[in-house]
Amino acid sequence: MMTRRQMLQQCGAGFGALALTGVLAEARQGDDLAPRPSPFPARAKRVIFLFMHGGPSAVDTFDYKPLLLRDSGKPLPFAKPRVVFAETTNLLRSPWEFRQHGQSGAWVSSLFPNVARHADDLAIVKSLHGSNPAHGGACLKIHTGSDTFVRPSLGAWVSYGLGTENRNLPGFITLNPTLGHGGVQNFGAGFLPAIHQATRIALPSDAKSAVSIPNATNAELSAGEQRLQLDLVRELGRLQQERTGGADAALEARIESFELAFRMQGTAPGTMDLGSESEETKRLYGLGVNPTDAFARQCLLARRFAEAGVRFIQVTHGYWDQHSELRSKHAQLAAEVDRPIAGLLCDLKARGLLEDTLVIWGGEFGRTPVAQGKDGRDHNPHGFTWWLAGGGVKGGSSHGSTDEYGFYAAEDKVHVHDLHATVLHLLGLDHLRLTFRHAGRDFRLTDVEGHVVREILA
Amino acid sequence: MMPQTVLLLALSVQGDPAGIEFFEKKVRPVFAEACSSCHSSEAKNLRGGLRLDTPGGILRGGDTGPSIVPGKPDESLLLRAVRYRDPDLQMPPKSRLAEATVADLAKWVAMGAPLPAPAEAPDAPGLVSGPSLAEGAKHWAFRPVRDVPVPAKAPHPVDAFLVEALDARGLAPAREADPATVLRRVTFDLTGLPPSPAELEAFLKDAAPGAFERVVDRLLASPRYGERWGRHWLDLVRYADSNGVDEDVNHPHAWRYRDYVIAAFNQDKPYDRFLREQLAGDLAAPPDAEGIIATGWLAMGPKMLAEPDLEKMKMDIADEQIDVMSRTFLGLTLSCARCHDHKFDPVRTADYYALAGIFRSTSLITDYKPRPAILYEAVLPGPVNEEVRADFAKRVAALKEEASAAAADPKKGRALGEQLKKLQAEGPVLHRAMSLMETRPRDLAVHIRGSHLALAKETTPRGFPKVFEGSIRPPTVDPARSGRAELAAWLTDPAHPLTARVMINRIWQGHFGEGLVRTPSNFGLAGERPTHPELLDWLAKEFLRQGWSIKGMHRLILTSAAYRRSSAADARHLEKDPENRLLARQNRRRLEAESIRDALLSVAGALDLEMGGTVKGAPQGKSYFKADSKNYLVPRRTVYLPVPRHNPYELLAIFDYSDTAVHLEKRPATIVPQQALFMMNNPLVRQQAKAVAEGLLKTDEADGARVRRAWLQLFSRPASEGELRAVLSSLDRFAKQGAAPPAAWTNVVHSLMASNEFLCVE
Repeated sequence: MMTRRQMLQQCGAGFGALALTGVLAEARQGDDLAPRPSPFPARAKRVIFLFMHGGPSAVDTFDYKPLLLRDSGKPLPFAKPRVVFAETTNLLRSPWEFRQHGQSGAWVSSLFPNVARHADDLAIVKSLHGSNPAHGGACLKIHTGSDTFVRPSLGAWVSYGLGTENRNLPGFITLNPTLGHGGVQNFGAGFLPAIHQATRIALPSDAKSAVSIPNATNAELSAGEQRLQLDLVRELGRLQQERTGGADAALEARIESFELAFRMQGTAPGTMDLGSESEETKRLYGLGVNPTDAFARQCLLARRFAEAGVRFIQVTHGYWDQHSELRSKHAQLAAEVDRPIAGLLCDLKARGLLEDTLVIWGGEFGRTPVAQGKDGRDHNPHGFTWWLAGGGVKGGSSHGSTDEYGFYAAEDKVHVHDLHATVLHLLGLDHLRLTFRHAGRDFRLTDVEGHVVREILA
Repeated sequence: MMPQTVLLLALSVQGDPAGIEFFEKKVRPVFAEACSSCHSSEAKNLRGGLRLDTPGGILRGGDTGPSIVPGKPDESLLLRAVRYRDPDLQMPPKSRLAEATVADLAKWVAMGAPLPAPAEAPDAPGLVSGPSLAEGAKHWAFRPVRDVPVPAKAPHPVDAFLVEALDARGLAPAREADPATVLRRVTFDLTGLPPSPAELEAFLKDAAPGAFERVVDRLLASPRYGERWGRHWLDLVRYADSNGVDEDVNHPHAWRYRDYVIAAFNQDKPYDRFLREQLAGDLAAPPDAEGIIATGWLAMGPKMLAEPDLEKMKMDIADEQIDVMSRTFLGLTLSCARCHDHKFDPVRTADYYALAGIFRSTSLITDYKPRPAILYEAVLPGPVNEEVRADFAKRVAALKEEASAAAADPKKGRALGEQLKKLQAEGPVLHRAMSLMETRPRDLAVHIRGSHLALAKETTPRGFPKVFEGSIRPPTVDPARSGRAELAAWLTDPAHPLTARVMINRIWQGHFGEGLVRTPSNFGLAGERPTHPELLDWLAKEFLRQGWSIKGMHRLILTSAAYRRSSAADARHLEKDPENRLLARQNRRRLEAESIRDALLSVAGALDLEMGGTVKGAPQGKSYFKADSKNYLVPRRTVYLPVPRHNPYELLAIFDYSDTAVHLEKRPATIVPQQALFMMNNPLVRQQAKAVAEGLLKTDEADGARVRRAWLQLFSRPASEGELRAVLSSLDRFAKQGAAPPAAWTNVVHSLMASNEFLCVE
């Protein structure tokens, strides 16, 4: 039989036995998914991470560089990085027009007309930097903090730190993730308990098919039949305990996990059914129309999950990797996401959810201000832009800057570790204290680095 | 360097009051404001070993060397950092200083870096931590394995040690479990499969002495044993059929290594030889296929194959190899010493780079330029390829003949000529294996803070951690070779304090659920201490006495009374030893993912016992592996299913084998609703339930008799009356809901498969 320590380490659900022996409080501490209060005041309870896979260009979206406009075609007046992904030539101006928006006067290019209307909700970080100029390394860096080792992902750390608010749904969900460039490791649990890995939900390409959690539907059995099956499982469990002498917390927990699973498959379809949304809401996100439909459905689903208490929801969109065809492809990709993202922000706000939902937007890196070919840009991990909105974020703020052309982060630099520290901070978690003991030492999401970017906190 | 610097300083102090004033007004305030939070006595963690709040610190510089070269701003690291044009060195890290400030710093350095006070004694380098070698060497795991007398407590030596410890705590061992339970336990332990009803019957009938020993021998002789214990080994060396991390390219020949491991366990290959082959099997003269294949695990790590910084890529690959090698064979986390001395163990960065030199003197990549880089695939020597080459030669000859016969038809002749050229260019499709190549042997310099951009001045000769020098004499690394053979010799030296202890502990863990050391891959100071140190040492010595025979160790452990004890705990056990460290009883364990699937297929009679080779749908060739659920429909044992890192089989991921990219010392056994969903709804489970139900309904007998048969088939024991009643009444309820007998029986068997008893070993 399991020891209680093991039991506490291992169980994601079901504490009948322990509760009866009066150690509920302690059991909760070891229950991996029990909702845990934040160690210090949290500004956000959950995260929606809009991941732009491939690397959207900062100088074409949120990082306005007048000198790039002026000096387009000239050589970069300073050295390119020691390690580059591809050969590049001279400075290349942005084909899109920038304008100031909102009270804050944030510069946003014409690629994001709808998101621009939310300029006063955004904290735009323009001095983000990582190190890895290849997709795989950079994806792993942005998701796990390490492009060298296999580590738990941000969402897994959040789930580990805060537990779930709704046991009838997974605590960490990723919609249509990429399986390249880090694959499951981008949303994996690494050495954290497996319960913290994301549940992967693939959205069917057509709007008609129902979305479902893996293994949560059964074509052959009715709920009534499954209820009878579980009753038998429970009865056999009772008989087994009788036979082998005494209660076993792990055995009970496993039986409870079946009950939980049964409830989960009962409630999840309702949560994932977009049909109950009003026409107005669907319009807001751009559901049912091109080119926004696919991403709109993901964003709307993300809101429904957020509303239902899922802790960390990642939505992936791609593929923003324009080594060529920057003009046409960046325009197309932005058109696919601009309205759904604006719709999501609007909808969250209208429902009062933006107060405690942190929305983060960005790619694994940005793109160079210098040209690759005639109409392309190379990867640039040395200075790129992300924005944050919602819970605890200072709306209408801009933090940090790149050099005059947008190549290197220069002022108030924010490393990927700093971004992670800040996200955890907003959730009420101290990145220095959120540790897990593995292979003989304590590990953190931010390794030995990370500073909270206080300037963007509300 | 120091005396010269001090001299410079002395001159500047004496000769330049204006310079000192400049320092006080323009430089010191900058250091105090912009740098002190990381580079002064105020710093919580001193960064890079650099202090800028004392003249000595300023002159000495940090881990990467002196921060200033007096008089030469352009050669000074300080200026390189604050000028912010080198992406790898920018200070202060968050924001660059104002241009005017940078100019002041440059001017100050150009002036000869005048400082106000004579330099005090240089600060300690700040890199050394953890215990000293002498202190650390006293840790139990670094001491030689002792010759321990067996206490006169029980007939079996294993029991003698365990009973002695129990006696000391006033605890009595639990009773022996009933034979059916023991048979199910040992069968799963050794083969990963449940016993068949016939095997159960035979065992229950065998009243002659030694019945259990005969079962153990039968199971050890079964090819299923290698599949089970080979899989344990594959966990340690993070076996996978694709690369994972940044570029999930196929490991097209990985399966040969997997088959090698399974065969090695089945043949009871002595552990020292197993280890030598895996580290240096390719170096044998003449090389043989098996030796080459054995080194495959070294190439199977998660590698950043698109990393544009090639030097970083190479160091990362070596680091990953050291990490897996040291945790697997040594039970130590040596890769901690890549960036700094080990924080807990007496292992220095120099020890790390001595080993890293060995791995950097090999390569597993043939071409670094493409992204992803191209992995080395060794052509297998010996008969396997002779046939391929002969076939190829025949095809070429046939084509040539055809071409010459077609001389009259120039069009056809040309076409055949083209075909021939193409065939010859492609060459024969040879059998290959993942392996590595020796490259130019090199010693590495310590990489300061683990950075390949900051090297120590001198290289560290290839070799082995110094802390072991008290117990074994390290072999001298042949300067003309990488040193892998010497590493293997060092590890398998009978006097090595860790190799045998670590392996015997893993074997123990496979039979009790926990090792005698409960941190099986960390025997260092941060690991747990052994619960039974004498027993561990006695077993380690016995392992050597039996010629490193793994099967011998299984036999020894399994024939103890301790192994056959009941897993039921009485109140006294729970009170005195809640974690069962003294092993008064057995541990109840959940089956691993592979056993769950294999058992489902096995009880349904659907398991295909074909061994080895690649499974249809498994990664082949150089492309990326497109995994979908179809790859896993083959009813082969799970160990033969593909293991693509980016898209693992959901069953493995759900049942606690979610990350195939890292060394795994022990499978966790979590309890999460996703597992329940899988058991309730996945077609795999339903299909097996259906097959079992069909079998039960085939014969014309009463439902009660069917239930009894189901119990023998699924749980390898007779059903109790209570269980019989529970199932019959459940069948009744399904019937009332309108289910016909096949459906009702399928539903019931499905429930049995989802029960705790099916998923656990008592």
